[in-house]
Amino acid sequence: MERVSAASPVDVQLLDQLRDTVGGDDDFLEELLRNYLADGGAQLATMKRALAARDTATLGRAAHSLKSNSAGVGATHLAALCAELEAQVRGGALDGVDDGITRVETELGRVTGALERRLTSNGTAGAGS
Amino acid sequence: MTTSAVAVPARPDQTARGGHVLIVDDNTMNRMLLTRALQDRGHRVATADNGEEGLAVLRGQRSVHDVVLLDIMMPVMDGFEALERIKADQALRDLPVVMISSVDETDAVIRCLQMGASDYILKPFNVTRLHALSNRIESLVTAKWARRREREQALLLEDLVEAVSQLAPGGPTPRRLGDIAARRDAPGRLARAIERLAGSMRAAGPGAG
Repeated sequence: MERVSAASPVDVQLLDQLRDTVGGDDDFLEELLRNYLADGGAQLATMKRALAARDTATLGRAAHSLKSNSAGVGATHLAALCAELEAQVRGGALDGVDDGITRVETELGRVTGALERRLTSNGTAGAGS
Repeated sequence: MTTSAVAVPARPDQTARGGHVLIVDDNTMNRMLLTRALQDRGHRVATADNGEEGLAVLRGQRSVHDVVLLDIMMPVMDGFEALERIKADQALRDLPVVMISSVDETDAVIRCLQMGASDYILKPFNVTRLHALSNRIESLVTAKWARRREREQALLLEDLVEAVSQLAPGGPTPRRLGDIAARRDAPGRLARAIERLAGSMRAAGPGAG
């Protein structure tokens, strides 16, 4: 079953916390977010490849990595979906994992949209929803 | 209590508080954030993408690292295996290792601490955690140099005892005693005192004492 979070895909408070972490350097924050998005796409592609190859170790690592990064940029729902996927894969079951990856892909799309809007609006400060 | 501050010269490039840190993490964002935060706090940083690459850097001839930050879950060689290899390597086992961990990796962190890791930092990183990490690295670097100084002092003392045992009435001053006497630290002062004592015994003649 498809679950869609109605809330903003990116928690602005957590994203602002990341901005504080980098000392308010918006250029560096932008670089970080662009890296996050690029890596996110790569991690999703890795998950799909790993599922096709039934490579649970690689799939789990990609989910873990995207979970960790997503939590860092305030994409809490995406982080939670990745955590579910990681736990499922770690348990060794691949049934239903394709649905999990689809949910991750959908949410990553929402997160990408929110972050792109933030990046293209007023620098990286103060947007995000 | 004497100070041995001049006993072992600091490396020329060693900053007062910062250390040489190797970050081993496959995650670009983590490497970027940690590098930035640690450089801002005066540390020198190198990075590696996985445990295997990290080990190769540490075993390289020009390795000067004081502390390793090691992610747990990585491709090619994960943090457990890299930590195990570091602690099994005679040349690396004293190198402090700080694990990079998610909050849900508590069991893994405990396992790493039992394997010899010095500490851990939790993700996601924030100002407080990075500040604490920087402070921890500083204290690990200080402790590492103190241990090295202690080892050198112990070796010097052994050399000194050996040199003194070679002193013979009317004989030459053992070369190693002269080397140690050239130092400005406590073993150097002790060696100079022994040289003076030996000199006055020689001047007093073979029948003296």
